[in-house]
Amino acid sequence: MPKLIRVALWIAAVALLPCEQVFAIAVRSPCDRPFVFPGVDLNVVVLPYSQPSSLGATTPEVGTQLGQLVEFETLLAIAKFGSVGLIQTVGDPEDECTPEIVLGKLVGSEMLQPRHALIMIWGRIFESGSDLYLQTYLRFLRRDATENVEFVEGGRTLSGRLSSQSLALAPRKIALSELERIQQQYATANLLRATPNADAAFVRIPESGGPYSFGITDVRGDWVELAPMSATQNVLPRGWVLARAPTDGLSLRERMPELALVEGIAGYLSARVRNETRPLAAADAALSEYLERWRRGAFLAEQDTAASGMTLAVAIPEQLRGIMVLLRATGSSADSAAAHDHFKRAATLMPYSASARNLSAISGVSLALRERQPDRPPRQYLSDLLAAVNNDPGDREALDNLAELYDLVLTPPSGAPSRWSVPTADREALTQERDALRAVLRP
Amino acid sequence: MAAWAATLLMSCGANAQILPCTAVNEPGRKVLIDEVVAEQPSLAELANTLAIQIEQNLEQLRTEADPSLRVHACDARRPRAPTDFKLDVVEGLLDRDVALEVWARVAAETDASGPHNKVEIGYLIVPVRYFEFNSGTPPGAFVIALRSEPIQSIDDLVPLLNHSGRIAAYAALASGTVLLKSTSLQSRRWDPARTQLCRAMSLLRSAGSARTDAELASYAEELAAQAWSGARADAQYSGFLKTPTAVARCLS
Repeated sequence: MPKLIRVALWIAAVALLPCEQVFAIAVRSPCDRPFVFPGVDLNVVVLPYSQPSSLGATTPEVGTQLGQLVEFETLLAIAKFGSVGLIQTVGDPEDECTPEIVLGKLVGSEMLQPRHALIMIWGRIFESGSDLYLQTYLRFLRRDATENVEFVEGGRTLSGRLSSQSLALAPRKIALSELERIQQQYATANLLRATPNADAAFVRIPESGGPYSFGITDVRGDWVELAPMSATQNVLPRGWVLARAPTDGLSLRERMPELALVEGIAGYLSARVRNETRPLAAADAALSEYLERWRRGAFLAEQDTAASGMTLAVAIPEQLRGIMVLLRATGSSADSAAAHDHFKRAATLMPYSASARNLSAISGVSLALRERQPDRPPRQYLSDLLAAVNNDPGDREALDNLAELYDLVLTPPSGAPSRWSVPTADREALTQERDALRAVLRP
Repeated sequence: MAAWAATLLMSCGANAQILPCTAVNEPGRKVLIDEVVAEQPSLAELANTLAIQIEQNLEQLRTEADPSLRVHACDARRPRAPTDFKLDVVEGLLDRDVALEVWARVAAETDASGPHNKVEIGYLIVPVRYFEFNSGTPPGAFVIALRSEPIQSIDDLVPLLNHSGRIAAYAALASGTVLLKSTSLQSRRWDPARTQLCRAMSLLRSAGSARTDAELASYAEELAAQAWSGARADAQYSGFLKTPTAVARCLS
């Protein structure tokens, strides 16, 4: 059957799946015709890792194989979030398999539905001397949605958003022997076995052609049962794959803490797509794990995160944790304090980012208004936001927040702490500042 | 892109020259990477390591700051020194939307402390070089020199070559400088120029302690102040920079 027709049939089959608890996976999907599962809340697309040509003789497919192992490891981590689809792509990472081209096709098509989420993972294996290094990149989004958070204080809305949704993660050194283990692990993971048992009869998933697409019908430990869809039914039977290495194999998650980051982001996005809080506890635990372990095995000169160039790789997970605290919040000042701590850490890492300083400032305002004894007078929060827009005067969100904050300071909400009141001597100056700002914000 | 790293040529001083790069005619905003030169054949591996690190740094820049930025290899283009970037050369690059050019060389040297490898990474921040060509301050083209032991392990060396923070700063400075000087944008240029220039200043101050970076940080802040004063003097501009609370300097 022609490849294009197989893809079309397969997409049609997936579209008919129920929207709740849909788990689907595709391997060896050609990059030049990328797709996502149209009915699922979150799709994770894994592009092949590019590799140096010098590896061609010994490990010609290791970049693609690593992509499939990342896909399987991610599947095990995020299946608990429900309604997820994973697609491993094959193609030339220097040509049609670039993130820009694939993302452009996915977002440009109708397959990714409004407000549904996508995580794209790609990376590079590079060689220096006799050593090999691995670096992963990722991008995440919800179509036509902003990753934002709002604070409503005294009837006024302060809003903030993530500072970036595209990250370069820490490079890691890998040994040639680990590449060989990746190949061995891939060889094991690429088998469909009759039962979840390493000794069971198996059928090998072909290493050519594709896409081979499956619904996920069961997960038992590290074993995942795959049921072939549409065109794949003619090629492969239902069967079990061992998605994670046996205990004596290479632990991908151990070697790549960024997979915990992917899990955390997946949980966050699942929660936002469905507007529910259930996935957030697991997502926060995964982000916490990543932030604790991201330096392990990282190949960086500097201890200082900013100097090592890993600012976003740390600051964005912090911001995500802050947003997740707020999504789960019960309205207590403890929640506000926890969220503010995350946002503040991110802003400290990237003082040049108006969006990061904005999140820190508005979460501080919210905390101050919940605590009866704030340790900072309101003028300091105004100064924080003024610094943000002074450096980035085009950030409309921060400008709007600043105007709202002036109003909150000049007309404190009932129950505001006593320290929130403004001395009469300052009131006139603040009013003039507010009015000047409102004037430039008029459409 | 990976192919260019493998095409290192052993240079000799006599044939070194700055050749035209056909990639400058590619559309869009771009960064050029010249050939990484190993002065001695025994340093080919080190040069390869350096080339890959530069590529990594630029990939990070594209991922995190500007996916539309294109990176092009200029095979056989081997600047010897910042002075190779004469005004007409730089003007041609600016006209073709080149933001940065990076070149590098490695050489074995011996001095009083003994033999060592000298690693030089050259940066051309095209708009800074062009607009400050006569003053030379700050330098828009310069070399950052590193020193490594002859048998320093790659583990020790690779992190030293990671300039991702610095490259992000240079890209922001290039962008902010072009925006500030782009009169065709009229009053719409002040806000984005200010944003990029304050960002560049902040990144440069955290990038390291190189004297050039300090000079560039001061320059970025000076231009950011020009964006502020230009906005305030512009009758067509009606944004935040005109309010009484806006100040000239970038705030930390």
